[in-house]
Amino acid sequence: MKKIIAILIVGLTVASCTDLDLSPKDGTTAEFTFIDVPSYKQYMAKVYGAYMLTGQDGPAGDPDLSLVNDEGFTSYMRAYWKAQQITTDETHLTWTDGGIQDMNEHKWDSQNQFVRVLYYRLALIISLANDFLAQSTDAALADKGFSSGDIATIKGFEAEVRYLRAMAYWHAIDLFRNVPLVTEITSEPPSQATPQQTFDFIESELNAVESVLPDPRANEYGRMDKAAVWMLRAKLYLNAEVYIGQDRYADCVTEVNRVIGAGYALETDYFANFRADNDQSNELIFNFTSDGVASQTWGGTTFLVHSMILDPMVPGDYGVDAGWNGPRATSVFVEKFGDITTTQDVRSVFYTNGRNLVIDEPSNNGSFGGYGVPKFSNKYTDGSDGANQTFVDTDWPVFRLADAYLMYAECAIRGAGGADLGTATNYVNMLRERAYGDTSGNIVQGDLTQTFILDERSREMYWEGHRRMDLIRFDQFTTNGVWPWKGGEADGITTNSRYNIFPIPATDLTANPKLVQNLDY
Amino acid sequence: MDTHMKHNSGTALSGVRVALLMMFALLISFAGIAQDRSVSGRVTDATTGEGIPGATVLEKGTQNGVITDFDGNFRISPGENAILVFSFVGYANQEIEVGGQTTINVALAEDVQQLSEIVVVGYGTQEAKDVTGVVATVKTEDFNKGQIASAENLISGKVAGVTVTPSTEPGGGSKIRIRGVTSLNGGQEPLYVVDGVILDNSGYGGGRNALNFINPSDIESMTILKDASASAIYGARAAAGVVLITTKSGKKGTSQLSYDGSYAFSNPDMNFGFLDPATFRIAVSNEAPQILPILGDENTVWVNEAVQAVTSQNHNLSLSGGNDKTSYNISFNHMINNGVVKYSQNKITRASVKVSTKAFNDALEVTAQQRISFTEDNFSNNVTGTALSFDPTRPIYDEENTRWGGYWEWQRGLAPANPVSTLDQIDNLGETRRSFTALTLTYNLPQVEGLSFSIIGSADFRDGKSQFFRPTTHLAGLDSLGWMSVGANKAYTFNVEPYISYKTRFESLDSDFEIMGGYSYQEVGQESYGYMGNNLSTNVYGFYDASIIDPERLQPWGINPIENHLQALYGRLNWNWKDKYLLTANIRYDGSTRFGPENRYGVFPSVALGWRMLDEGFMQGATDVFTDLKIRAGWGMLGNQAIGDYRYEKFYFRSTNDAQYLFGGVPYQMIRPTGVDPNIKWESTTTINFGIDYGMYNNRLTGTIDFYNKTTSDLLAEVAVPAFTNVSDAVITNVAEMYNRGIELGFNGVLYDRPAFDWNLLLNLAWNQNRITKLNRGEEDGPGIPVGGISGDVGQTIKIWKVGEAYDAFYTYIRDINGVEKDGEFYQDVDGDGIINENDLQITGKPDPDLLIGLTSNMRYKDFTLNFTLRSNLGQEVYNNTASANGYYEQLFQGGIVNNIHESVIESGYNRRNLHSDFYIENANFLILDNITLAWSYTKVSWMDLRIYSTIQNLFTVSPYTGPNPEIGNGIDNNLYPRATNFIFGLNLTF
Repeated sequence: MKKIIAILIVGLTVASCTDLDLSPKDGTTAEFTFIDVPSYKQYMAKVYGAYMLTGQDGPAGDPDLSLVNDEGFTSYMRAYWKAQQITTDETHLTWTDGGIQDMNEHKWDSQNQFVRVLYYRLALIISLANDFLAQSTDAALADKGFSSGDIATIKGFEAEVRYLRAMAYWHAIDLFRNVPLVTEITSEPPSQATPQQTFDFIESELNAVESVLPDPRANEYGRMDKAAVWMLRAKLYLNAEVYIGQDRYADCVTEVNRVIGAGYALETDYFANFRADNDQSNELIFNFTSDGVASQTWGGTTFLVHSMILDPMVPGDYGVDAGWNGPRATSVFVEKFGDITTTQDVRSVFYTNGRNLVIDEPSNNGSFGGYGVPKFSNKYTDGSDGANQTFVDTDWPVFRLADAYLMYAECAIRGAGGADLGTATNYVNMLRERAYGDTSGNIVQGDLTQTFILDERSREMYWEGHRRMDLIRFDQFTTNGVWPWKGGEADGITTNSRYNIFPIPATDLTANPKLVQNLDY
Repeated sequence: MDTHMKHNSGTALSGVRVALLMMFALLISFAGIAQDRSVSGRVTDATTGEGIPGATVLEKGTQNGVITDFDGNFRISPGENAILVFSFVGYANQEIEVGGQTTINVALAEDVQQLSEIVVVGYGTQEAKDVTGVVATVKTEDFNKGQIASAENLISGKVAGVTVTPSTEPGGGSKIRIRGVTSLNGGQEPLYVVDGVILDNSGYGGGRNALNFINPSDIESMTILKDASASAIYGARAAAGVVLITTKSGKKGTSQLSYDGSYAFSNPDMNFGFLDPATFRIAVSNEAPQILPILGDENTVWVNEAVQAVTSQNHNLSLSGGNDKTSYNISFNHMINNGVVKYSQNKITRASVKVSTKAFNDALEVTAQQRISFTEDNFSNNVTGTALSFDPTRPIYDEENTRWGGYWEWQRGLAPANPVSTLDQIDNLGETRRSFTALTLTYNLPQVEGLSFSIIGSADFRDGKSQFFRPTTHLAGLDSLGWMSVGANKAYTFNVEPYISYKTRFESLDSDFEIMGGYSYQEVGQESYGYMGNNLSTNVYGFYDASIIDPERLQPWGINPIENHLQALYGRLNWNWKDKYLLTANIRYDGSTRFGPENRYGVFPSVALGWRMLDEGFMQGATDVFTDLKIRAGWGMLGNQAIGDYRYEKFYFRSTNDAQYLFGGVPYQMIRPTGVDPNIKWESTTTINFGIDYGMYNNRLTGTIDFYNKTTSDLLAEVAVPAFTNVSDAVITNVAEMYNRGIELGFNGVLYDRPAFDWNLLLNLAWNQNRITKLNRGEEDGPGIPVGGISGDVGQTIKIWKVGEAYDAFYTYIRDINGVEKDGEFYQDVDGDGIINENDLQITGKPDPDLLIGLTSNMRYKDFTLNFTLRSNLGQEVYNNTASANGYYEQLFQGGIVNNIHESVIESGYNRRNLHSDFYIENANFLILDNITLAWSYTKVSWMDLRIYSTIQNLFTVSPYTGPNPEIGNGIDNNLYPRATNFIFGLNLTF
């Protein structure tokens, strides 16, 4: 009996001294995670991957973002492509997902889920980069006892991550203009920086990493090098008038010249830049990578290839198993190529068979309005299919040489110091000779006008996610310029200038009372 | 009102009907007994000497009985060697041998036992009269009858304020809500405690329902602790209420062998509202004539190929008994529950042994129990949704189509697969094994009266397995490579709970005290692993043969070996002063590994007062009507720790093999940190309750009235963090607040109490109002959090959490003929900007009811009993997603595929999808006859009792809702598993 009491009392006492500290067994704290060079590389892979992929489980299952229901929507590349394309004269998307039609029609508001993806993805990329940088400080690396060789490698990763953060800030200033400038993980709600502050930050970060990054084409494929720095700076300067009201076209020319002199070459086949093996292209300066087996997402280029296949196009012709009846060409875009039945321009790739030029039902996927634009494909240049017919191998071209030529030409037209119209004409004709297969499409110097270059950018760079930025730079996006369904009208009407940038999402205005909504939203 | 009386859709049921009628007729044809000798006398109250009118005088073991007259007099003609049993509600029974007597006068004493009924509370028991919290007990005799796989279904409709939304899947788990919803993102299910052991069902996988391991036939009673003053002793896990399950023990001095077997016919409700093939062709010629040439030649009603009537069975064998020292209860159960969707099945085999004994001069009481269960589930894909919308002009089979297994298919990437092919070709199986062992020791110290030590220890193991096989011949993308996955999950819970209680009386204070204090430790662990992959080398499946997967596509996986530990100190004081004034105070100090060091421990106190008002001198005048009158008031705080693990610290995880990023053509796993709020803490619920318990007319009428206000604060919600500050866009943190307010009424009335006929009614009503009062960190209300994903389009939601509104309120456009057009419908333009967009959405309903009503009737006429339970939910809405996703003409032909459409289109006329139209928010009030049972007992032989019964579950539902089933847990009616009406025939033999 006494034994029993003793056992009970002992049991009580022993059991009461339990420690309640537990950790998960498959993931762990920073201290135990970043112990070697590969772990830093894997964290850098996340910052790159955050532009393309949607989460930690492919293609879906463990999303990075939780404020949007459908994980496939949360691919940055997919959202960015929509923001730059379906808001413009090149592209119309007939889907009915909440907010899509508002994007087509310039009617979006601060609750639009696609605007939300853009904003929070950028914020996430920036925060991931900030967290990475907190793990790669000199002190942190010294504490861990890395060799000087390892430290140099990790510092190389760090430069790429800083670049990726600068790139996110470039998109942020372009899309939202007035955003917080945050460089660390914090619990303090931040205020917005002025566009000038953000612009200066991007510029100084690019200057800082330039010397650390490898020379053009000297890094591993899919990673940053100096040419990516020059190209991003060129983009920043080209649009400086829009962002901060300053003429920086001459600086743009300097950067573009560096790119043009870096050893890239136009591919003979225009479409070699958009195939499953476009990692082999000599024209592409920087790509986000994609792989049908190891890097699966419903966003990224998988979205692009599937969605642009419309009835009755055959998915197998593009190396995939299904078409999503998504984006299609507006009639004004088709007309930029003149008579497409006779044009020699190979870039006029429209699928017209069984389809109509005019989009009569703007939100009916199944309708046959609007030509197909099969620019991207999951087929190799030799005609074989990518590794997987659901998820594609095609990489996403961010910067390519043709763009640099056109940027040079535009600066020349705008009278930038250091650029001349003769060289510009040559550059443009290089692109047109490739397109026409001969010199029959060539222009003369007198043809180089602002209208011409804006149209030529469309003919060369269409559906690559540049159009909105271009139209805004030429003030043709809102208060000027009409195209079908702009403003919700079949023939299109002009829209309010507030749509030149996107609103800060309502969710963030609620979460962070320090923020001020963009003008007129 | 549309009455959904079940209609017979096929021939299978007519047989059932006939059998049913025959059985009822057979039962009714038994009757009658005669007698001659006569005995008379008077039945009086032992205290007052007054005659008791209406008392029962019954010859034992027979149906021969009479009722006393107004003065208590009776006359009866008993048989040879008769024993008469005198009984009346509220008095103890008396048995008297007649022998040679011709006059028998009996004085009945009040039944103290009955008034001091024992109620199970956390860590002990209490007399009902002393209970101050809101506690409701349902016992075996009041349980729902029929073939019931799982405990929670025994009490649906029985307790005020407890909503049990039954699963329509075979053996599926029901959703239980006690006094409304108390959490947004945390657990909403109540805490289950089995014979004092706190269950943790986390990590349960491979089966449909974690509670299935307890054989419902083994359950003696279920007690619901509804307010904080009753449940605070369970602290951090009790916010959603507590359900105490007491299992059966053997009875002293008896031994009993009992067999119960039943056979069930389930007939699905087929009222789905899609066009039949003929009507479909008419719709096509009117609305999409261009596709007439591509229609097929067949007339296939796909849903009839997928949903069918089935039979199920149940066998239960139990042996129980005991002597002065030891008692035992042993049971064995085998149950096969077939689902109305082809192939779906739940098979359960359960065994249990429970033994209690006393030792050391009866000072030590020991109870040991072991329960094991083995469940096998066939989760055949619920293809009902696809079957309804699949083109009715196509054949099922196409023998030429060998690529797709000989089934007719749309050969397109995003096309739905032939539903019959899905059912026939895909295997989705689950298995669970559970072992639950509990040991309870109580040592009553002989030297100190009233002092006892107890310890409860338990080990609960849950092993599950899931298997999935999809051959390459099943259409899943045009390059289908097949798919196979095998997963195992293992979980365990260990509990140890030592506690001490001391009961004493201080005469000088005229007070009884009971104090109890203890410690609790719980350890839960779980892990899962398995493999999956595609490009199968054979379509002959071998679940255990990973080698049929292409080695390059074989992915082994293992996730999160997760543990959580909980420890707590708790105590209770009961003070009973003058047997009139009662006080109960509880406190629990809980610690959980789920929270960071700053917020790891929480204190959960409660206090309640009771006043037995009837015992006051001034109430003496009321005692001829009232037999009981008690007023209760309680206050308490509860926690909710069901928030998931490791939510407080930033951890880094690597991505899966198919979510890598490529550098130089080489894939690298990506490392991602988790976005967390390091200061995350308990959700806490504070309840105030005011109630009255009453008994009238010798407790022929008893009841309770309760008013409560339950406020939950620090609710965990996944809220947006200020962008650019954290490694996630949203973190789970404590920001929201919500209240539930309500009134509950319970009545239990004995309407008749005669030898040949008795009848009692149990009625409960509960009104509850839920509102979200805070949702954000900021001052402003904000736009709310959209929830409730729906089908019909990607990324669409239909519900919202919004300050000032009920949980999960529906958020839609409101039709208005003078409004603005969108997709062919006119809606109110709330902000007047001329376009209909998300700013024009408004609250148009909610899925949770305002008023819950349950009515149970138990009737006995001689050897026949008739029991039924009616249940009604009022003030609730359902979003008819089946109609909204399929009820528009453009769906007839989309993406090159022909689809059937929902008949709601005839009324709506929609050409386009209008998912957010309030047209689809429907009144879903309902009245359901849940359960009706007719039984006949044969007790005339001493060695055996026989009972034959027939139960019908879901006999009819009355509801204005146009879909097949208005009772939908989350309010979104979308591809639900079809409900069935079950006809059950059973036999019970007791030796």
